[in-house]
Amino acid sequence: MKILLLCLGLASPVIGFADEPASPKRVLVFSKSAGYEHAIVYRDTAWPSFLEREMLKIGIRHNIDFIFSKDGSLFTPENIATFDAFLFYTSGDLTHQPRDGQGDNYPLMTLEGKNALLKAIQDGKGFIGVHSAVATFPRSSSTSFQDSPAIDPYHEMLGAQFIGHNREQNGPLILVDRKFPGMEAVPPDFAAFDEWPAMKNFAQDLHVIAVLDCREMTGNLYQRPNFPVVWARMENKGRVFFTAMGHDEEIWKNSIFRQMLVGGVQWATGQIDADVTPNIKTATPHASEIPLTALKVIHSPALK
Amino acid sequence: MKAILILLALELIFARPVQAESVSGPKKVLFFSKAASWEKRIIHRTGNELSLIERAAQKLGQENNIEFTFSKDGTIFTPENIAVFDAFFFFTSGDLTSQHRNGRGDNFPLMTLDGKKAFLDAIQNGKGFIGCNTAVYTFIERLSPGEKDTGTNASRYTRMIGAGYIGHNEVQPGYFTYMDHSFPGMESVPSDYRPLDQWYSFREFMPDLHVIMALDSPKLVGNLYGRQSYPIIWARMEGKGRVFYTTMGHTAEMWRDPVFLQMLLGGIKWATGTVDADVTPNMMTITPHANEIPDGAKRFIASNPPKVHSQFPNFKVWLPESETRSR
Repeated sequence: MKILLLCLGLASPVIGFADEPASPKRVLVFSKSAGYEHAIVYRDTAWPSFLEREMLKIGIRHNIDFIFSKDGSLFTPENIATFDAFLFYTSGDLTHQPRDGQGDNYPLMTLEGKNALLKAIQDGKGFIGVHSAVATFPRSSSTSFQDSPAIDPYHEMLGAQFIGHNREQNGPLILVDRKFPGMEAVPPDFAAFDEWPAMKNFAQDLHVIAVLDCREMTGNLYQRPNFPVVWARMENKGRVFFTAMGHDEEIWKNSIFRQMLVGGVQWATGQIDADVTPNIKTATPHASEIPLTALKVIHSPALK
Repeated sequence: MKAILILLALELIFARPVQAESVSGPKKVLFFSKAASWEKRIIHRTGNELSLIERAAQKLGQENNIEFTFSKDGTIFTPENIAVFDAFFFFTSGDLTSQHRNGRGDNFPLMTLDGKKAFLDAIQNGKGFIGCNTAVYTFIERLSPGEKDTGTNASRYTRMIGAGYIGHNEVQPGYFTYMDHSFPGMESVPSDYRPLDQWYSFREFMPDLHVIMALDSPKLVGNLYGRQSYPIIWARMEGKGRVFYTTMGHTAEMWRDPVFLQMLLGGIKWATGTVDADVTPNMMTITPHANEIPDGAKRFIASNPPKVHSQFPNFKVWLPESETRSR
């Protein structure tokens, strides 16, 4: 194995876990933006982004070895093999980014790299998608998230497709599985101020963990039956976890959100097991009944 | 022309001056901040929001009858578009015509070689230029890839701006040996002005510089300042074009500092021809040793391990091979 891994700083072992026998899981935190670049993933020159600094703290606290990158060209079968799981906070088509001002300037993923990643997940690697991970890769060759008919294999793996979002607001959650790792201590009336991606074409084998209660939401995209926003599923042998939450700094300071995320990472890396029997048909039986008016963002006139 | 207007309407955000009437109409300045290399947070746009320095300039423009057009799109540099503006304000970095996907910089469209030439020709023929901070860290290679060799040493852009880039040590207060208080915007700069900023070190100053401010380099900390006083703000003529450069403006605080903004405004007013100034070359008398660089100051030497290492020891980055070599 060629040394592509560069450890900045001293290779200091995690302190405080001397008695723990298991070596930490190795998770790649990947945050390239080929589309909209969230403020929390922007690196000021070579400094870690806000997201990276938060993940560092989580990694130290929970003994997870996070490695950080925005370089899509590093997705090769050899490199992929060195990780237990992949956490994506990405956007846009990571294999094809025109120079239009959107996103960052990090190297692109190759199509082979993307296929190698998807295959590795099927063969047992974990995947954790956070927030804009669902707004990553287009459907088929289309550049539009709205109109393309075919489902990209990435979205089949993730478990849904992105429609869009209205403005940030309080999202009340209905907790479906309170036994899932990280969910134990979430209060039953939990609601978080966040940007909520509306989604469609949910995989029918989703194990729904939390549902967005759309009844009190404003914006055309939420005028529809409730739909899942936190879930787990198996992609063959691979464990896939997704949370729609995590748009800006505020939510990352929310200890309940962090706890849910940590639970997802621990399950996806195989540290903890969980029952992920598909339950979407009972949890959100109408999630795919989306009125035409909720399939495209309509900005309310009050917004600029 | 229609196409230009559509392009401008689509791609750019205008700073509309508040003043309804003025004798000659507002000066039009293209405020260009594409990063083809390091992109500082103060020039970074989140989504469609203007960057911190764009917002500061917008306010300055509204208060002073300057019409800024904000862009990071290199394709705007066509002879037709260039003709629209009175001056060009650059807070740029890297080779704007040939950016590699190495993580540095933004993802805005590149300038074409023809656009670069048209831009430099336009300065020569009388357009104004205001360079700020990283503007001197732009086109630092002698030639852009694919550019015709004209047989000169420094890049044509570097000669236009008036000096080449060496580097900088840590952000620290500045000390000065000289201020030209007669230059626009400099009238009320206090002689004990000590702004906290990043101070570039330069090489190959053009001998025709009119020095506006010179750094008391021996008072600063860091190997690059181990040299005699040298210019950090200057003006010069590039053919018929007025060129102004200031190294200041690295920190967000500077863009809230009325003294800095006043100096910047003076430079813009002079470069756009709103006000005149005596820019007789004075570099050889004010900073006669500016082009003498001792060996110890020729190249950046870090005094401490880089901050990323010391503050984030667990930040393990997976980087492309090309990047690992340069670190």
